[in-house]
Amino acid sequence: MIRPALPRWVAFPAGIAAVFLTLPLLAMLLRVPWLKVPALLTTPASLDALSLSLRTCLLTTVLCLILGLPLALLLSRARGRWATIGRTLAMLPMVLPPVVAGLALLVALGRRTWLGGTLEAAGLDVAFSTSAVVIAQTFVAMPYLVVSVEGALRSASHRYEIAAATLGASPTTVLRRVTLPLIAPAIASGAALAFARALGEFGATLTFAGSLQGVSRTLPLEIYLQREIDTDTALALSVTLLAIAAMLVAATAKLARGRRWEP
Amino acid sequence: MTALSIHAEVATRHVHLDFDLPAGEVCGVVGPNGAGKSTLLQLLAGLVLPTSGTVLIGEREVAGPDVHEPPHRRRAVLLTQDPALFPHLDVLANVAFGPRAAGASTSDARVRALTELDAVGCADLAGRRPHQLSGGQAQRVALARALAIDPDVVLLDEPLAGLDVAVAADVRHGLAERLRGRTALLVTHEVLDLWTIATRVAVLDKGRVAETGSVADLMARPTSTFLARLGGTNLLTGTIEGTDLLHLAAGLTLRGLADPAQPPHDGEPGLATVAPAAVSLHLTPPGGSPRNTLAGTVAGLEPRGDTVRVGLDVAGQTLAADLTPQSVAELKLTPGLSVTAVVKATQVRLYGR
Repeated sequence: MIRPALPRWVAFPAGIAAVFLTLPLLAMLLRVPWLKVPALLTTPASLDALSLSLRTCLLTTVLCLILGLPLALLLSRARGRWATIGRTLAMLPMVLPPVVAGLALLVALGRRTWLGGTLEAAGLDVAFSTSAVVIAQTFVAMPYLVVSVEGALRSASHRYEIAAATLGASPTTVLRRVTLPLIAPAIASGAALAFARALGEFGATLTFAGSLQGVSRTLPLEIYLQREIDTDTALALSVTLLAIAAMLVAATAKLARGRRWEP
Repeated sequence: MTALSIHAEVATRHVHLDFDLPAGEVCGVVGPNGAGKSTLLQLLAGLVLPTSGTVLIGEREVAGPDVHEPPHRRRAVLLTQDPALFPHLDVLANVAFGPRAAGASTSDARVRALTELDAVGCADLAGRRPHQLSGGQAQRVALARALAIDPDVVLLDEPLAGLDVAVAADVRHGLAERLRGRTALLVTHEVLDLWTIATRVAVLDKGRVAETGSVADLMARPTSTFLARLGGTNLLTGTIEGTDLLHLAAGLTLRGLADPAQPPHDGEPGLATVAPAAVSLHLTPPGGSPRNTLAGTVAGLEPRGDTVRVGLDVAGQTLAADLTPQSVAELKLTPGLSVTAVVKATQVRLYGR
């Protein structure tokens, strides 16, 4: 069946949009001093930033899974006014300006607050530490996992869970062997999105964790710092970030498509 | 021994069921849509809670005023039109799911699963994924998966409804074989399912159990119009006069043969069954005949292949007659036409309630 054609003029603004979206990336790729990239990426500052970013982002993703999955499960079952409120609150960090998120974390967990003071007395110095980086990243990244998983859970049919329960499976068994495996693609793509979001986090990290080399200066912070001192290093790090982001987007798209048990 | 005992109400669905089933019986559950058939199964499976009353499986109270056993502790397995095989597991893992959930080791569960698959003739499908199965195969695997947990009761909600006629016949025999001797409830709209799979039958109507009994007894002497129709026969009710006469209404009687298994008694309510094929129609009453003649009005015509089922209104009761299309054309039958139905007394079976 032939679908009615789009008007031809649509191609014109669409073309401008395509150029607009790819031109900056292309310009950056052209400007990168490719031969010097290996040397630029292996300076102590670059290596510290790279390793800090990867470590904190992995930890963030794990935290998002451990805490975000149960929240998504509960929200997917919730009904009524409280469910709407809960979903809105869980999504809020997605649209919050990152610097506001950082400020909020500082106000809640900073040294001079009650909670921060209590944690400090217990030997946990949170603000301006690597833990603060993970907290800031988890705060902004977790909603991506929750929204992705909750959507999949809500659109999934209950028939497999009912079948499993009447076959004698306890709620934990149903969750472990039926519910979660069936939404595995959504969990994976949600985790990839959360990782990507954490990797790019700048404002909240800077506000809440500061910018100390090897402690809280992640890749985006290092790029921002090098931008004026040494443009070549900034570009080399940027292209690394771009490569990781591109891989994550590709992986997410593949996961969203692939339900391996269907033809 | 009683295997199932339901005396419970679900107020939101206007269902109030009183139903008991002896162990080892397969009970067909029939009735019009909305009669409460699925609710009966869901009450047992734990998918619906009674607003009052109790549900017992064997000696265990699984639902009551202070009791609610969740579905996974009831050992009541549910099989519906949708096989609901887990799409991420292969056939063997699907059937092994129940034993694994009950704590069996992986190897024990696999052995049990293979035994059950073999019993439904699907052992060669063990390595397949559910999406690689036909509808009939999927339903057989679902049966194997259900029986692998040694359920106390098997609940079947129209398991054959989604299948082709030929495939359904095949699966029907598989069900009959595997359910023999077990306690099971089978919701169905097919009289063939009752004869093939069930030993007992329960007729539900408007949220109540209208009648129960053995398949043979109830199909031979139905007391509800629904069951009579399901069995393809007419049911007429009235008062018995003497030993072989059913008084339907003023001036309207039906002579027949009394059923010795449940003989009618003079002056008491009685029932009569007549096969639609045994009813002939005439525009004028045939005179001087010893046969039964009943005046009625044509209510509807329903073509059924090489016959036409003519629905008659006889003193407020429905009488169906199967005629050839030629006869229908010759008699110029149209709704509203007054006709005389003629039935031989030997074709009428009379019995008491």
